[in-house]
Amino acid sequence: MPTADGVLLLGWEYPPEMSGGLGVVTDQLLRALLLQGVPMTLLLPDYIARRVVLAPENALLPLLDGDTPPLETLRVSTTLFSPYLTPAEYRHRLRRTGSLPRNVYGENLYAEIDRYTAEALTKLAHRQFCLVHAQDWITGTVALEIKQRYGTPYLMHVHLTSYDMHPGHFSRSGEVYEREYRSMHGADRLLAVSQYTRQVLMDHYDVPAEKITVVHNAYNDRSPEGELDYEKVWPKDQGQFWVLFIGRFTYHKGIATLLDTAQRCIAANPQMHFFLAGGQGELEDHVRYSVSTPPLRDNVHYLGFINRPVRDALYTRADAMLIPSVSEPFGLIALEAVMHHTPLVVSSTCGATELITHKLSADWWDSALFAEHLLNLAAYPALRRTLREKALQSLPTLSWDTQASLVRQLYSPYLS
Amino acid sequence: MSQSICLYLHLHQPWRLSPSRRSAPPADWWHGPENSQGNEAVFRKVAAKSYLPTLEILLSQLQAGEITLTLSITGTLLEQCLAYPEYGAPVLSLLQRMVATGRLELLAETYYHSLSYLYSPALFITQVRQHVRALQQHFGVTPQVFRHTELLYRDDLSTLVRAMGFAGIMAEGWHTALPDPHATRVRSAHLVPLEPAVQALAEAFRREVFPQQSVATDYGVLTKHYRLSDDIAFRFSHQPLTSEQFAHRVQQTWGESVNICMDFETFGEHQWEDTGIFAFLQHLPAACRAEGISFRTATETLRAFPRYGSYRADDWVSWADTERDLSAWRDNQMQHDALAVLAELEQRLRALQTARPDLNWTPQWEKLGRLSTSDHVYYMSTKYFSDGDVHTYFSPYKDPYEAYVYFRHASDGFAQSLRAIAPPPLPTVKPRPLSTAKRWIQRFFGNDTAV
Repeated sequence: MPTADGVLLLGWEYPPEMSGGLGVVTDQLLRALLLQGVPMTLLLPDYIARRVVLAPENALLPLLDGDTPPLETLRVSTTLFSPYLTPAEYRHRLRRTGSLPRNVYGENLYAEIDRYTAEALTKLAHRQFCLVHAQDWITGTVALEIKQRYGTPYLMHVHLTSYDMHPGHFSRSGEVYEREYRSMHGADRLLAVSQYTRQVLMDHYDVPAEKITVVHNAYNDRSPEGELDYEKVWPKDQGQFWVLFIGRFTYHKGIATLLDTAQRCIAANPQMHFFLAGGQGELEDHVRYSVSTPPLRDNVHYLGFINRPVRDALYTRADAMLIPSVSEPFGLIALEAVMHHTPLVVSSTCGATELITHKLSADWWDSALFAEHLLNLAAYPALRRTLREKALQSLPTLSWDTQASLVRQLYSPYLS
Repeated sequence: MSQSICLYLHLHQPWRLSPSRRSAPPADWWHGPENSQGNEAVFRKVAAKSYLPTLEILLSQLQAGEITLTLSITGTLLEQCLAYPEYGAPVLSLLQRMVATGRLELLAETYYHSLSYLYSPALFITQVRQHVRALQQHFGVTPQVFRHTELLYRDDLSTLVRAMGFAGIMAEGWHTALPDPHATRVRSAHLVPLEPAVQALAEAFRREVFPQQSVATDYGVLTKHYRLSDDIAFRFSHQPLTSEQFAHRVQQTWGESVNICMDFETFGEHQWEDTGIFAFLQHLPAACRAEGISFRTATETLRAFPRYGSYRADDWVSWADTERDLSAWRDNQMQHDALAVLAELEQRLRALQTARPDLNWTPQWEKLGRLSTSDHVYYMSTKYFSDGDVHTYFSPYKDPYEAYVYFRHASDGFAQSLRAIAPPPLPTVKPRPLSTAKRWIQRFFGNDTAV
């Protein structure tokens, strides 16, 4: 029996490229853990259907800044495209990708996950780890299999559940829910990104409270990047009030509430302008259609995907950030908005707002109250100023270093 | 060894604003929140738990000649006594019977428990006059001593109060503000020059309210003994205290008069009945007698002792919070804005009244007065909210932002109603120069061409 190799982290990509928040969190957490001297190995999917240049397998990958220890990565080729696939999406993507060699993809999502798991297990056959750190249900399935085969305990880090994706029509059935349920109950410990998510796990997945630890995501205190001349890129007339929305156009981001809120605001105050930025989602076409017809046409601006410097510029120019998410386990953009001095109007089902005392909140379906908040912000500069100032002042300083020590504390019983 | 105790209690209930949406103003601005924090609900609760039982005890002690007492009663509380007669009528009649014993002194203040002095001394004097009239009407007495909202004190305020004809003022005695550590001494004020306009208003007030009196030469400042006051007001529930211990502490305190100042609601509401607060109050007179301490009202205290130096306060001192300054009411941008709005509304209303003296402006002044109550800006304070300790945050609203928004909705509505009564004159618009094209068209086709 070879000696144990520390912690195996089941990640999605490295360096972070496509999977949004999860990739960044994995990257930052991993970096901080390595700096604290925790022996880590990273298992990654090798996206055969993507033209993304990623570090090769088994190379000791030096992280970007020089003083981080190098990291060992293992790669398993797969056609899993993102950590949050639905079976339908998988089928759709697979069809679009074209012909692939028969042995590297499963014919449906679950078959592919099982194939991925089997391949990962053969890769790990001669390795022994003290602990496996899984993230969400797909890698949770892998971790559960590893535990059953080799008896390695695992810890499941929950960033997003299927409840968060379909809170309105959530039912305790279906393959995804069952796999989530099995991997959560098989885990030795669970890590939730917010108290809100902890509550979801207790209410909808019957996870006992004492098994869950909350470790909030941290964030880097970054000042606006880039050399953009904001005034020129985003000219703004006197008296205009800009509302910013950033997120994928999916049901769980509260798109319906967003559009309804915009309509109410614009009807009451034609100086209100909405800027919608973000990526794909099943409601993207619906949003594009809605904002291209009256009454939203003149005041709602669809930006599509925007890169980092542009996003920073928009934060700085906007008068309010609107987050009407139906269910948001964490929601890093809320913290980013606060750090850019943008007043926050947010639904009460957003995890990150546990850290933000000074915000205007409403229930996710209450577009009348969201509109009320925005119109009040537009009418009263003192309200905006106080929110800008106090929200930033009262924000607790959370660094990845301190959050990683919390994670290390959870590791420690297994590492010794 | 102190010689006497001046027990001074403050009765106040604000008119909390009803929640509102921009598009839908509430039917009644002064109903308050719909939950247990509504004005009537709070009044009922406080009357049952605090006012009625405490007033009963105090009345019997006054009638037995065991104590003398000083009270300040705000105009808004008197209004609520009349508005909610089920509990209000007995409260008012108990107060009247207490005044009739001749052992109760009432203090003057702004009718609406406001901070109007901060933005308009003229409004301040108007509101004090209104309060004095209300006390005369309900109790048949004219107050001789003044107290400002939250015992705020500064030299210019004190000078003004003296010019208005009062014999003295009650103030916070925070140790860093006093020239020596003894809040038990009666001091004179450090006088500063007043603006001529304010001086004239003060003179007018004095001639009207105190026609027989000239400006008091022995004007005095009574300062709150915060440590002994807080022993009852804040620490009573977790540091049990008997009347005997308390009387002994008073007796041991060096100086002349220990001024015990607190909210009336301390008895039964801030400190609940099960802490033994009523038993404490009942035994207090006997315990003080045993220690040889007599009770004196504010005026009696001012008469009994000589002035010892002067109390100089260049900056505001108040009895609120640990900072003992204005920061609970004037700290963040929303509070600054709210006070500025009040100042602006007052100016506009005064201008309108001057322009249209034929109309009855009393209801408007009343509305403005209720908006000027200091509690509204207090609810907007973000000082404690940021600690996340929402439970200690004393407000009927969810957060300071809600408090500000409701206040602004109310003040906007008020400003709009003013505009409806007397619309402002249309601004004279200079004709804009026409575009070149239009000028050419006019030259050739005449002025009335539709272009």
